[in-house]
Amino acid sequence: MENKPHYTWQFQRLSALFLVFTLPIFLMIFYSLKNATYQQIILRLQTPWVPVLISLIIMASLYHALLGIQVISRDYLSDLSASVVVTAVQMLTVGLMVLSLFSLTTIIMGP
Amino acid sequence: MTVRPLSPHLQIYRWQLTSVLSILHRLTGIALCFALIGLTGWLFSLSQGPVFYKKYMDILNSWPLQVISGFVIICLNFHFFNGIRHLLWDIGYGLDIEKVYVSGKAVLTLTFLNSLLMFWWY
Repeated sequence: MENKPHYTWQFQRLSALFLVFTLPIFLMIFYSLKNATYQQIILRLQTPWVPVLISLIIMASLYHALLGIQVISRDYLSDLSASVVVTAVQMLTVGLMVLSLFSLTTIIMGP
Repeated sequence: MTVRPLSPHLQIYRWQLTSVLSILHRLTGIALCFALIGLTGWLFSLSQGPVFYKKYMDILNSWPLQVISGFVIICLNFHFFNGIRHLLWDIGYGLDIEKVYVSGKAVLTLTFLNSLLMFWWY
């Protein structure tokens, strides 16, 4: 593993701070949709600020999760195993970010 | 490649509230990673139309996944409140041992109460 600063700690805290303020809003939106029909959910997600907020929260959550897994891997796994786990999680994170953005864009354009 | 020292193995620790909450913070974080996959799946199912969405929701509404969803709510609450505790430590608040125990008990109480609220609301 490279011996250079990763700024993991700082970005982990910044993403946490962002999520502390935005996650309750996301949960309120999510809970407000509990009895909604498919069409009502789509209409709600097409409100301009909602997909922006959801995409920011998902990006921040995925990034926060990636940094967390990196820290745990480096604490408990050898260099080689940690590299394998971190690379796999990085790929999964990018995949989930792309899938989320694709899904939200499709919803905004009208599925 | 450098050989780094690894963290001590978990079994050498004497169980105490501080270490248990620290371990739980990491475990709940890992559990929430899987929940994020479920959330992305929910968005994807919405983007694929009502038929696909209904199939996804039928799976989510099955009793094993309802139990897992309940578990995720508890994990989310714990990770959220304990995360705030960590952020407060990072700015130097509540670091003496008495406050660490008080904040730890507060995190458990808030997790319990807010989980109950979310179960009731849902």
